[in-house]
Amino acid sequence: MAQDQAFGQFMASIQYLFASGAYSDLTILCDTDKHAVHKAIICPRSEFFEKAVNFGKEAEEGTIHLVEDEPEIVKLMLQYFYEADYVCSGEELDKEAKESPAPVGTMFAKGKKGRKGRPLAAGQPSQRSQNGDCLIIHAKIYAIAEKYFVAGLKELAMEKFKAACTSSWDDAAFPVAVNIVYQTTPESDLGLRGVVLDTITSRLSLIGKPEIQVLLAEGNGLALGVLLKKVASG
Amino acid sequence: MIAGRGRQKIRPPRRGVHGEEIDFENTWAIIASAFREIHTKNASKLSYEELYRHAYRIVLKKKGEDLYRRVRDFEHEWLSNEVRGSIQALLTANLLASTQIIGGTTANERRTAGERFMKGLKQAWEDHQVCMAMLADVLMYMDRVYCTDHRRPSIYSTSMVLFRDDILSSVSSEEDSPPILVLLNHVILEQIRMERDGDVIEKALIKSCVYMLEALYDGQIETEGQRLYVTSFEEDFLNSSRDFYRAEAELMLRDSDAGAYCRHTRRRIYEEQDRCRSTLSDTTTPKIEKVVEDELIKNRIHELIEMESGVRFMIDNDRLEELSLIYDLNARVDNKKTELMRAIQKRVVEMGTDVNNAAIAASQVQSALSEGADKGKGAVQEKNLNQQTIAALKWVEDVLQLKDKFDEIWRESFGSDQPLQTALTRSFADFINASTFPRSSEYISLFIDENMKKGIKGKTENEIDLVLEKAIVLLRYVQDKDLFERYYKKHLCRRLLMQKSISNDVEKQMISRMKIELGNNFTMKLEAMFKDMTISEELTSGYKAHVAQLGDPDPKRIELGINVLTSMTWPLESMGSSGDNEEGKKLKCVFPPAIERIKKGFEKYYGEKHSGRTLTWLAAMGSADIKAVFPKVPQKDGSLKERRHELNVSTYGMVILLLFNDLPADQFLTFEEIQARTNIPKSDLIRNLQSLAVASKTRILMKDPMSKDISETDRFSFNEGFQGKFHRIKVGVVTSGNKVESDRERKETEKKNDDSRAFCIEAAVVRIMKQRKELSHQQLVAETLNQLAPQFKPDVSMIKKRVESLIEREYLERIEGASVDSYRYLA
Repeated sequence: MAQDQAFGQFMASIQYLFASGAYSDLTILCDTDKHAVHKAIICPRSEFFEKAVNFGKEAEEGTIHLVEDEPEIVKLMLQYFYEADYVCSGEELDKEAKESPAPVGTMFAKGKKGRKGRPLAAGQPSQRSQNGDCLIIHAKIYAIAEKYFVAGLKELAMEKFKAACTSSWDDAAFPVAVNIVYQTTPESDLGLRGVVLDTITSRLSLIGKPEIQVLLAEGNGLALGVLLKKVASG
Repeated sequence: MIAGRGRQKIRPPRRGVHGEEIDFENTWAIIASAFREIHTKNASKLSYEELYRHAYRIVLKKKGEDLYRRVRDFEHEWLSNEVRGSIQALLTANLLASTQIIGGTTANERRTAGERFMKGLKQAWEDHQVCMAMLADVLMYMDRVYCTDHRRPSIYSTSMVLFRDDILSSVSSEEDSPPILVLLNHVILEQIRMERDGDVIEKALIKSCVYMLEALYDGQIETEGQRLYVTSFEEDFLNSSRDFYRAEAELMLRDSDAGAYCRHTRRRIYEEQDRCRSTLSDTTTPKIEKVVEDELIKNRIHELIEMESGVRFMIDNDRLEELSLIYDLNARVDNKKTELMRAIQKRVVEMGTDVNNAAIAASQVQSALSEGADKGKGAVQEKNLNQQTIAALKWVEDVLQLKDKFDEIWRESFGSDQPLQTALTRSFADFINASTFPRSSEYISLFIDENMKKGIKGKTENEIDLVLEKAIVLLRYVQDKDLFERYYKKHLCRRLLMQKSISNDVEKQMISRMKIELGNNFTMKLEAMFKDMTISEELTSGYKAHVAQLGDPDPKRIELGINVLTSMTWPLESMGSSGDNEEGKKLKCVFPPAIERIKKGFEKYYGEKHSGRTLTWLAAMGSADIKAVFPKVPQKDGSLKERRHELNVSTYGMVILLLFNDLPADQFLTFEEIQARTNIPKSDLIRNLQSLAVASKTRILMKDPMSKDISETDRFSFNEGFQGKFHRIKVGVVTSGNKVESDRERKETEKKNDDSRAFCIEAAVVRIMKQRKELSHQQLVAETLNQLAPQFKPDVSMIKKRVESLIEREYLERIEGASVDSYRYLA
């Protein structure tokens, strides 16, 4: 038990570092956000940051400016660095991030928590729900993990994305997420693309949706993927 | 930018991650200018995030191919336009001159020019590496995604290839000058040459250039063997080294001695190992070692060993350290050390042959003298034989000394090398068993004899052990163990019967050592001899008790000490004097009645104990103590007194003297009378009479006429006026000790040996054939030789004769019509 306790304390102190910015030796800027972070935490988990902190301007200034990334996503990525997980729950997210670190137990509970999406009959006009938004966030997290080579984050995002798909496949956010997946991953990356194809081929009614049809019509390989998947599964 | 909640209308997603297509040309322009900054060491203002992001987006938008190609082109141009020029600027006249081996520039100038050139190249290479590492960081996403998916070499590897092609393979501006790479090789080789000649060079600088050559590959495949270091430099290095060392070997063989050559060679090997470590590459170590070993050792080892100051000189002068060097060098190039082994063996045989020849020379001088001695000069003969015995002992000591010498060399210089020990043993066996020197068995046995009789007196147990060990060491070399056995038995026989051994224990120790070395069969008969001796002691004392029990003690009784010898075990024939054995067997000595009585008495006693055994009396081998009284006759000093002496004489001597007991003082006996009354063989009689009537100190009989030789017409009478200095007088008889055989004896021994060999061979052949039933002649001979090897090495012709004899006696038959001569065993 002492072991669990010690682990809890350890996690708490790491989260405290992020929340307080104590001992920070690196600043990450994104839009108006300014995060005081620690090389020792971040660099070992991301080759991008590892190289960046030793390069030219970044090395000189001790600052990395992530010019084109969304502050929300960057924030979640940083959360992952410090908490080994990230939480997608709309506004609560902001609130929580500002609060003092949550006890570990709660945090993990939250991570697993996911409200069951309302069962929607196919053909009904889709609704965008909070769950649907999460689908998009997971796709974006996946993208940023790919971009910055954040260890383990892609796998985590993929798991969450997959779970979200089973509940929110009929959500209006689904096509948006699909588009993001196809825009932000290289063809060779079969992670999220695989999940998307699985979702569509197992729920072919989705093809009836105009938004999906638009995506299928694009030359990004989605249509071919669906076809091949269907053939392969007989 | 996250799609907000609550939006009702859903539009198909827009193109692009962030809604805009990228402008490749503009983006590339940004990246290229940043690269230029990096190359000019001006990267501190560049933002990693920005450059990374640009490259990331290009790749994500499937423009990786374009980016990759642009970067490569950029580097190619940079190297060709900016870097190459600065390198070529270093190609001064001095440097180029050296490649064409034109005189006019001093070594120092060339070295400085070479160093400048290497420094420039090293700088360019290191800059290139640093810059490319930065570029590769920036282009990480391209490497990871584009290069991996399309199986392209990483941009870093590609740029290294560019360095090779654009810099190293480039030809300088001057028309006929070689590529930079060739120049670099040349400069490095020249520097190494300088270092070999004793200069100090910048090892670290060369090492940097070597690192560069090791990091680059010839062609596309990045394998060990394709490193530029291997494909371009190493071969040149090895070739030029080969030339260098070939010339050096030539020079040194002419100008220095073998020891210096060895030391120098060893130093060269160390130097080259060192050079590989500090200046070149460890992968070259075994290769350059091989070059040095080939040129300085392998191709020269024969010359080196044969030099005037070579192995022979080292052996003769005990240059153990130099021999050890030679051994190490030879071992490097030849596991078997063939050359050294050959030289050592040659020297062993030479020195051994010298020892043999010295012994032969000594014996020839003396046998010439002893020819005369046979005619009767007993004393001279004795002296000669003694000298010859001394020569034999000297031979043994010399051989042992030689053995010690080579043992020391083997231990100290050859690291107790097993094959060399085998070779030494073979060479020792070679000269010890040389056909020109047939006496080794006899000499070794004599050596033991001498020690048993005198040598070990007053020695400690350890010292005695050492002596015994020496004998065994020599015995190991002897091939004809049967001949040795024959001599040893003969010598041992004399020692035992005449009680010449100092210690029975030591005798037994020797036997048990031989047992370990040569096996049970060999020592069985020897042990039987000891057993006979023990039984004889019991018999003697038993008989004494028996006699005492018979009746009143007779003060005049003759005491009998007896040795009963098993006739097969003891080499009795060799105990008799030479030449007259046949005669001795035919004639039975006539004993005086008193003695005859005792003889009968013992025969009866013995017959009761062991019925059916016949005792043959060997009068020639016994001895007797006689109490003699010389009457009062005027002495030289005029006094008149009776003298009593105790005479120790041979049995024959006793028999002769007792004849005179019954003779009136003024009477005499002729030689013929004595012979007729005693039946003593003529030659024994002559020798005994010589001792009794000629030798001045023991002249108990008078001879008429007085001369040194005994002739058949001589007359003998009792010498009443005999005067002895001591109470107890030993009357020696010629050839009573163990000495070297005369040539005639030798021939006889050999003949006897051959006879027993014939028997052994037949036994072996029958044994083999019984088992194998049918066998070709060749195989039979081979197996026979093999079986008999522990005992002796028979002549093949002898084997053939024995086989023929066996066929005659129908033990074997020839197989008719067999393609090769074959035999069949007949049960």
